[in-house]
This record gives sequence, structure tokens and C-alpha cells, in this order.
Amino acid sequence: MDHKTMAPTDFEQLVTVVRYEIFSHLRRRRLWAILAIVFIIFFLILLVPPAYGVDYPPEFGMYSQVYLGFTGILVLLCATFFGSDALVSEFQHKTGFVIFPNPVKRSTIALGKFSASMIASILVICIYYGLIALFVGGIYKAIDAEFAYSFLLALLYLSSAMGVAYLISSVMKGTMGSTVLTFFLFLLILPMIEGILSFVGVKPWFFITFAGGTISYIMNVPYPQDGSFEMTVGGGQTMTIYEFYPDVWVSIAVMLGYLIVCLTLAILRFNRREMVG
Amino acid sequence: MREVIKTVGLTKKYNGFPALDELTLTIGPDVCVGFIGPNGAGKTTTIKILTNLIRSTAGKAYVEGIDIRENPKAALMNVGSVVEIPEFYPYLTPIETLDYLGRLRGMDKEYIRDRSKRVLEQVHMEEWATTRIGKFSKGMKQRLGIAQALLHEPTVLILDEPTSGLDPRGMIEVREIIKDLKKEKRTIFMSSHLLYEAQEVCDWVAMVDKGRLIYFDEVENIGKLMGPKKIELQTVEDLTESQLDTLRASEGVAEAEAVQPKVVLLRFDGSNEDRAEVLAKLVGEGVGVVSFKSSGMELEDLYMSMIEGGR
Repeated sequence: MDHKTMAPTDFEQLVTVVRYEIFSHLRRRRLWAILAIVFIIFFLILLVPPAYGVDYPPEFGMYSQVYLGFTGILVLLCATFFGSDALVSEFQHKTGFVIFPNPVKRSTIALGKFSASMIASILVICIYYGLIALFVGGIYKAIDAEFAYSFLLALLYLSSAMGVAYLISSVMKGTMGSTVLTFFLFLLILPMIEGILSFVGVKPWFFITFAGGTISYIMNVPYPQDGSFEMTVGGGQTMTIYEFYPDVWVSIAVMLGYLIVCLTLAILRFNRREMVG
Repeated sequence: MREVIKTVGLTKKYNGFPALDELTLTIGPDVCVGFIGPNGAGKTTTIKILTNLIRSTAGKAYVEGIDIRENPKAALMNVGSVVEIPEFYPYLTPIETLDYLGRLRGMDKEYIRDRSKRVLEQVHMEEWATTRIGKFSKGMKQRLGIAQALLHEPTVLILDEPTSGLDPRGMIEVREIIKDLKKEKRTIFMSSHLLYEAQEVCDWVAMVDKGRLIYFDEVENIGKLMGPKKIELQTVEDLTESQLDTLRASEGVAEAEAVQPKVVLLRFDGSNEDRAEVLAKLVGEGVGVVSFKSSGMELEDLYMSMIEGGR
């Protein structure tokens, strides 16, 4: 083989990038940190109720819903830890001066990084769901089919959240800003706007975090429906309280949309961004 | 002539300000070209365009005839480069970094292993091969930068101030490495703000100022362009007027002037034989010669006349 003229294929280079990015997640201990959080969350929910003499809920679906309510937090941590600084760090830390002059497309580098972030994050989600299936399923001697749907929705939500994190990473100037924005976007900003929209009676179906709610709602049989009720407030006045639940198929479309649009924009921006300074 | 590196009307503007202004330059095979100019002249901008780090606003840049913007993957296949002080992933070791970059270039495992050992020895980094780069100094990173540029035995080397950040010993070693590489038939394009470095290492000099190419020729032609050389003569005692007259009458001496006590500056346009003759004559007349050496450098003189002249 003539090493000087035989360029590897884009796919071969992608595999190389994935391999070294996963290696970086292991070396930087971020993966271990999130796995530690997974185990802490899991065992707290498992052990605290009996410790206080509280019985477990009567059904697998009800108990697992308590766990699945935390999946959004794990997705947020994965997007923040594995995605938020992935692209911007090449510019801020100037490692791009070594990587970019190689015969490899930037889109290959970006896709390789994204794949590695996803692999690390999927591992985290798999372990979390695996623990729930093993221990909670063990308690009830049964696992509902909805649990599998929840798992698939969690993977989709993870992909779309990672896409958003990569888009933020591609446009921000520094890793700190990118990390903070990703974290607070999912933790505060989007849920806050969702809450305000719901308050005024607008269903926020187009919000990624609202769509992510399907992960735990799917465990309800039947699936909850939107509704509203009147509540009496001070002075005898009444106000309407709205309850909105994400439609599963609409949410799947929304999450896919976020993934495709955000990842495409992130790659385009990464391709065009100049290595200045 | 094979055109290894070529730029045609290369222009780069930052917010309307031209960092490069229609730079046209053609570099042939197996030469070492020093790319010099003041700060902000466009040296690093040119190198960044040639290594696909930034895009030109107008014009074209080619390596081995391949348009870098249109097909960077093919254009950079045989290029090794060091741009600015290179930064590496701090959690990797040099061996792992070279493995990563080698794989991206399609080198097989064994070839990467052999070459990694060789290039780390070449830059005197072998004892740090398995230490994480996060602990490295600026100079060590610069050496590793050179090592990665040489890993795949490229035919074209593009180096942005390769001795920057190195201590004096490191600078000498890197210059020696570049001189060795010249013997291996490679095209080397290196920017430098050290004129003596460019004159010592390179065969050709390209000078830029305000984004434009203002001079491009072989180093050996600079002397012809610059006319008489300056020679500084230091003596034990001041020269007498008659000794100065004798000096002025010597072959090749255009001018001789006492510039300081016991120091005479000669403007000399003769051959090396004439120069030896002048020295012999001085010693023959009983003048105690402390030193008889070229004052300043031709490239420095050229640089000052062209850059300052353009100001």
C-alpha cells in the first residue's frame, strides 16, 4: 500500500474519529461522572422509600414512572458533558490547528464527534434503563411493553438534545458559554417558556423539552389527554388552568426535526468556521 | 516546472481590511522558501489558507495543482504542517496523538509505529512519548508539532514560524532538522520573522508586506541586488590616515570610514579572494586586527530597504 497517495475513505476516518473521541470521554472521566450520577439516582429512588417505611407503588408502570421522570435530567447531563463543548473546543483550545490541516473533511470530524457523544450517552441511558428493568422489574416480576417505548423515546430525545448541544457548540465562541447555555436551556429556559405558554392556553408541542415528556407519560395507560379546569382564586374570580400532554407521534416528529435541523446547521457552521486567532 | 505550491490573486479580507492583497506566488519542487515580512504582513494568513484553516475572499491556492478550497482532502494528502504554536488534546500522549493523525491519513499500524518512533527521536521527544501532552511546555508542543508534520513523510512542508516558542538550543535543533529535510528532496515553505534564520536555512526568499508580495528570489541573488557588503574591521589601535588610504585603494573596497575608535566600516564589493587580500595586507602592515567580519546581513539590508521604503 502506498501511504502517500492512498487516502482513507470518509467512513474509515469517521471510525477513527469516533474511536478517539470515545477514548477522550473515558480519559476525561466525564463518562464515569455521569455513570456515578446514574447509580446515585437509581439507588436513592430504590432505597429511600423502604428506609422511611413507605411501600412501593402497586404497579411496575407507576414506580418506573418515578424513575423515568429523571431521564430528562440524564439526557441534559449527557448533552452538556458530551456535546456542548465538542465543536467549539477545537477553536477555543486551538487543537484545530493540528486536526484541520489533515486530509479529512470537517463534516467527517463533526459526525465522528457526534457519533462518539451518542455512543457514550446511549451507554448511560442503557445502563439506567437496564437497572430499572433489573431491579424494579424484579420487584414486580413483570415489565410493561410501554417501558420499551419509553426507552426508544428516550434515545430519540437524547439524539435531538445532542443535536441542539452541537448547534450551540458550533456557534459559541467559548466552551464555558456553550456548556452553560446548553445546561440552562434545557433545565430552565425552555421549561420556563413552556410553562408560560401553557398558562396562556397555548400548547407548546413544538418545544423539544415538551416532546421529551413523552418518555414518562407513555407509561400511563391510557395515555393522558389535554384538559382544562376552572380554579377559584381570590375575590371569587376564576381562572382556567390548562393541562397539556405531548402527543406521541407529534413529539416523535418534533424530536426528529430538531435532530435533523440542528445537526445539519451545526455541521454547516463547523465547515465554514475559520480557524482565526 | 512542476508547481508544488501556487497562489493566484489570493486575497483575504477581515471586515473589509485586506490581510492579503492579490498574492501571486509559485513555488517549484525541492526548494526551501522562507516567507518573511513584518507582523500583519499576511504570512500566517497565507499559510492558513494553504492548510485549509481559513478561506480566501478571492483568488486561488493550489498544492500540487489541486485547488485547496475545492478538494482539501486530496490537496493536503502529502502536506505536513505546523501552524502557530500547535495545541494537542491534553489527555492524549504523543504516541496516541501520532496514532490518531496517522490513522486519519490512512497509514497502517506498523507504519505509524515505526514513523512515530523515528519522528519523536528526530525532535528529541522520545522520552516523553507516553506522557500526557497536558503537562507539556510550549517548546515541547512545538517539537511535537514538527513531529506530527513529518509523520507521513510529506513531500510538502508548510511551517509557520517553526522555531517560535523554542529555547536557543531548540531553535538550532529545529533549523538542523529543516536542513536535513532539504536533503531529502522536499518542498518547504516556512514563514519566519527571524531574517538570519531564513537566510541560513532557505534557498529562496519571498517577502510580503501589507498583504502583497514585494520580493521573491533565490537567497544567493540578494547579495547582487544589495551591492557592496558591509565589513566591520576592529583593530588594537586606531588606523592612521595613511593606513586608511591604503585600505581605500585596495581591490574591492568601495569605501572605508572610521565609525568608532578602533572600528572601521568598509563597503566592499569585491570577491572573497579580494577580501582575503585586504586582510593579508592589513596584517602585513603590522595592523593588529581583532576582527574582520561581515556587518549585518544582506537579507536584513534588503528587508529594511524594501519594507521601510514602502512605509
